This record gives sequence, C-alpha cells and structure tokens, in this order.
Amino acid sequence: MAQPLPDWSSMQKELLESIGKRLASGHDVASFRSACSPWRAAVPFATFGPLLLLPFDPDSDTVSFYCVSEKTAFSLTLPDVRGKVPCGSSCGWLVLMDEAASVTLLNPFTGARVGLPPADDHVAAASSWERASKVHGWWFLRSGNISGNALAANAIKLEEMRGVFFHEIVLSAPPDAGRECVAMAVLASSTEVAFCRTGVDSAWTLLDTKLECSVASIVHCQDKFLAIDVTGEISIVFSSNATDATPTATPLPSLSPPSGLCHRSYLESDGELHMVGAMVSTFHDTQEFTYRTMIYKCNLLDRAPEWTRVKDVGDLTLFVSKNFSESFSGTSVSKYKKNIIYFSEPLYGDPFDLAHRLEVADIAAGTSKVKKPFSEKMLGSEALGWIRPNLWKGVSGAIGKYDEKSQTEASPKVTDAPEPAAEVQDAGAVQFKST
Amino acid sequence: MAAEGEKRGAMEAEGAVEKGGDVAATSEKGEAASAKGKGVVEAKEVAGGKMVILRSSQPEKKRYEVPEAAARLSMLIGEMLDGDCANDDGIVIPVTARTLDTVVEYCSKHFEATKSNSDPFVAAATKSDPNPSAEASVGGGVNTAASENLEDWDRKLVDRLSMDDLYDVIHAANFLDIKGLLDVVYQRVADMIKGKTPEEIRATFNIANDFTLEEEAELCQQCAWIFDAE
Repeated sequence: MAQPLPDWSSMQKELLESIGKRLASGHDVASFRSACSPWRAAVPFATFGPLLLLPFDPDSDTVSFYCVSEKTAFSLTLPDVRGKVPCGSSCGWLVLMDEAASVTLLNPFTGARVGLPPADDHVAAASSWERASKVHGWWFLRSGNISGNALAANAIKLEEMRGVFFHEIVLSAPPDAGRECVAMAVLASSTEVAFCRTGVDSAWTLLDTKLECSVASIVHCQDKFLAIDVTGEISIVFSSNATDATPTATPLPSLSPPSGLCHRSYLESDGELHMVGAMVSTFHDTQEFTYRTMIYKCNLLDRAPEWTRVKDVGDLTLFVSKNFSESFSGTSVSKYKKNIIYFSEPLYGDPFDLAHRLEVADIAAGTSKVKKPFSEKMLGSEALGWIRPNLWKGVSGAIGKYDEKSQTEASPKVTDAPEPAAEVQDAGAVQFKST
Repeated sequence: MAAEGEKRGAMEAEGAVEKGGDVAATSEKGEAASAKGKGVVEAKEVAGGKMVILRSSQPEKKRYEVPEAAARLSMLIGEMLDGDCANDDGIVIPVTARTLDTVVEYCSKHFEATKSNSDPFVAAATKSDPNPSAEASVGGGVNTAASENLEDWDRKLVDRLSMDDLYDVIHAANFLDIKGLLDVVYQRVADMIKGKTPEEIRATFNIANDFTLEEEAELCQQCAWIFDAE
C-alpha cells in the first residue's frame, strides 16, 4: 500500500481549518490564505468579514449575526451573555452589563473574557437624574420623598440599566492584544464620561467633557476618544501614556457641524474622523420628505478644524451602525461594492413593519435603497450594529483580568460558520430564514 | 459480531476482507480512510487483557504491543476495542511503520504520564516540580531520572519530524482521532507558518501559487479586513 505523496496544498479542508484556527496572528492568517486557493478556502472571507450583530435576549445564551455577503444568519452559543444586557460593541468585542452593574468584555468569536470594574456610586451619581444606590448588592432607584413617606425604592431591572449607568462603552483597542486598552463610557444623560484602563484600574474615573449638552456618543479616532453631544459638538479626550497623568478634555465649540444635516454616525476612516448624515428635505404641502446621504470629514488636529464634504470614498465600503456607535470602513471586496454605505437600520423605520431592514446608500448619488434580508421579526426589533470579528491576536499575551480558562474551555459553539448558500442554523430560541 | 461492527468506526475495507466470522467495517472517518487504503479490524487481547497489538500497514505489518489505555488515546481504536471484534493478530492501522512509531511513542508517553500521576508514590515524589503544565503534570515514566515537562516532550517529538513525516502524522492522528497529538502537530504547522510571507510559506510546504492576478488582488482586499493583519 503506497501512501500518497505529501501534498500540503490539497489537504482536507477540515485539517486546514484546524491549522487556520491555530495561527498566531492576523498577519499569519493573511499569509496563510495567500499561499494557495485551498488554503484560502479554509479561512473564507465570511469568517472575518463584517457582520450585523442582532439583538439578543438576556434569558438566552445565544447571540445571532447576519452576514450580508453570504446572505446567511448564524448563531453562537455564549453562556456568558445570559443575564446581561449589551452596552457596546467595539474592536470585535461585546460589552455586557448585568444587574449589579458589573461589566464584562466578551469576544464572541474566541470566547475570551475580560472583566471591567463595576459601576459605583460615583458613576451612578454622574449619570442619572434619579438617585441610584446599592443595597445588598442590588441597585435601587430612589424617587424623591412622596408625601412624607420615606423613599420608595425600586430595584432597577436589567433592561433599565443602560438608562441609569453606562449607555455605551467604547474600547481603544482589543483588551487582549498586549497593548494598552482604555474603555470609555457614555453615561446616561451626562456631560461627564467614565473611563478605565483594562487590567490596571479597579474603578471607573469620571471626566468632564466640558460639552454643552449630554454626551451622545464616543468615537475612538486617531488614538484619541471623541465625545460628541446631541448637537454634534465634539470634545477631544486624550490620555497620555504616563500612568499618573490625568486625561484632558478639550471641547471644540467653534467647530460647527454642517447645518441642516441630521448626523447619523461618526467613524474613523483613512485615519480621519468622518461623519455620515442625512440632509432631509420636507415638502410641507404633501408632508412627504426625502433625504440625501452625505459624508463629511474633519481635520480635527488642525488649528482651525472644519468639516468638509466627501463625495467619494474611493475603494471603501462603509458600515454604519445605529444603536451602537461602532461604524467602520474597509476595502470594498466580494459582494461589498465601493462607495457604498450599509446602514444597520434605515433612517426612518416603519413602526408597523415587523421585518428588519438594512439601508444601502450610494455615496455618489446620495440615494438609498432599503433591503429586507429576513422574513421574521427579531427580538427588540433593531439590530445592534456592525461588528468586525476579531479572531486572532496581534501580539501574544493578555492583559487585564483575563480569564485564561474561559478561552480554552468556553469556546463558543458555532452552529455553522457562514458559507455560501449555507443552511441557516438553529441555535436556541432564535431562528432565521434568509431571503 | 457483525452487527456491532456497523456502528463502530473501523477502517474501510475495499475488496475482500476475510476474517473468521468477522465484522462489517463501516468507517465513520471515511475521508482519511479511503485515502489510506485497506485495513482490517481485528483486536486481540493478550493474556492479562491489558495489552493491545497494533500493526502498521502492509507490507511491513510491524508489530507494536501497547497498553490498552495507551491505545485508547485513539478514539478510533477505543471504538474498535469496544466493538469487541474477533481475534486475530492485532489491529492493522493503515499507516506506515515510520508514522506509527511516532504515534505509539506519543500514546505510550502520555499513558506513562497519567499512570505516574495517579500512582500515589510516584506522584508524591514528583510533586515538588514547580512547573505545572496543562497536561497531566510532570512527565516521565518511572525510568527517567529528570522529570520532563510533558509539553516540552511533545514539542520535541514533533520538532524532529521531517515535512513528509509531519504530513503523515497529521493524517494518522486525524484518522485515529488522537486529540492531544493533533493539537501538537497542528501547533507545529502553525509555528512553521508564523511570521512568513506567502512566498516563504509556499517554499516551506512545497505549494504552487494557483492564483490568477485578479484573485491575488481580491486576496489583498479581503485580507485588509483581518483584524491586526499588519
């Protein structure tokens, strides 16, 4: 019996896939895929291409995603999400908060977990008009005195947590990539933000952004965090590397957003801050409206920064999220055409429409089409936003309260990686049909 | 006997297989098995019931006698033993002796390691080792003077394999379903890829570049999406 001559390129897909999973870094994966076509097939683009993160139920342990290029949905079983509400998606990691206001970072694709400090009284005081206090490990809202009665205390439910504590948390880098990672939080109704350095700080530090109105979103751009309020005013939050230096906040009151623009999201693209917005035109007599999608970019670091119109983003495709502020751009490839924006939600949704929709905008024309990828309603109705799977570490070594055990043992059970025309997998309560 | 054989993994038998009153062989590991050629399922328990005979493929049919627990590190062999197949002189594994040498060495070593771990005297004596490894603790059999870290031993085992040997061991470990050995050989391959450019990878693994220019351009675009690819 002669054994076949070793032909590494034609090894079975399963074996190549197993090797692919063990590669040490994104760089190695890129080289691996570029060796020959069977090796490329072992790590298909859908494995690491952008995904739509769908809303999930804290009573289940399933997180679902939709892959636009493959037109398939799939689910991952992640016991860590049970009993928690998502309050951010950043650098490929989910940010989860539970009823005790403790925060966990979870990489849904590797199963890696990092703990962050829980919200404390200071955060609660800064963040909410109402007073929250912790009793026996549970958080309660204290309404003011009611007719002489002592305070009526209501336990804060999980779905209310984001309205009291952290509205959204953004990371400066993946927490296990061997470099410093700072988490910054938008609080519920506050001009202050909270931040902490993963693996270093044991409590959140508050910082006044000096903005006029409450912070609505935070974007990480050019190594700085930008706090942006509802009017579009920006404050640059910068922390130097010295461990004892306090971060500074520099508002830019003279930087006016383009007038008449309803801004939808901000993102870093090509190293610069971009804003994606809609110029809405209403017709008073007919009460109809149309809108034109427009993109602007800003030279933040210049002496007199200003917004300038961008009519062409070149070879890029943009992915803009609505509920979380994780928006990003990338080289157009596969089914994603250049100069196109994928919005996780249409600008104006139809409240009576039960199906989830994506909006796809043509940057040059400014026009949009609304697409309906699923036929079934999703929980909570709106997708959380886009996520870029972060599967391989850049640099070895983990920092932070990193639970090593969780990485090797609690690997998410993937019901199926997205493949062309793959069957939609059923994992737990959520089930999708692709159209 | 035949009925039991059908559920249990066994090698694919192409062509006539005669064994006195024997098993129908259906392979659950079809993919590797068919490539490796024919074999026959036979398990024999030697007197004492603790040793198992393995044989490499034709024509050498080199004979290995291993403790059953060591052999059972292979899920496939475990299934065949459970299937209680009829006697003959050993289970024939459709790999060369050279490959089976490595596999048997791995299984024996890991069996020795768990054995000394559970033996209270040996475990106590070696307990002072400050270097805990993911595997069953401190290595060596009763004979080794210095206790070796099992992970290091594993790495040395595969490091000395040539490319061709490595290829064969991967397929054998996959076919035999020996998870620990698979992890080690996959890691070796990943280490060989680490830090290399595509050209260097092709040179190491003797792979031809089968991409068109357009495909290479698309590859660049796709790889730009990999997190931290720079």
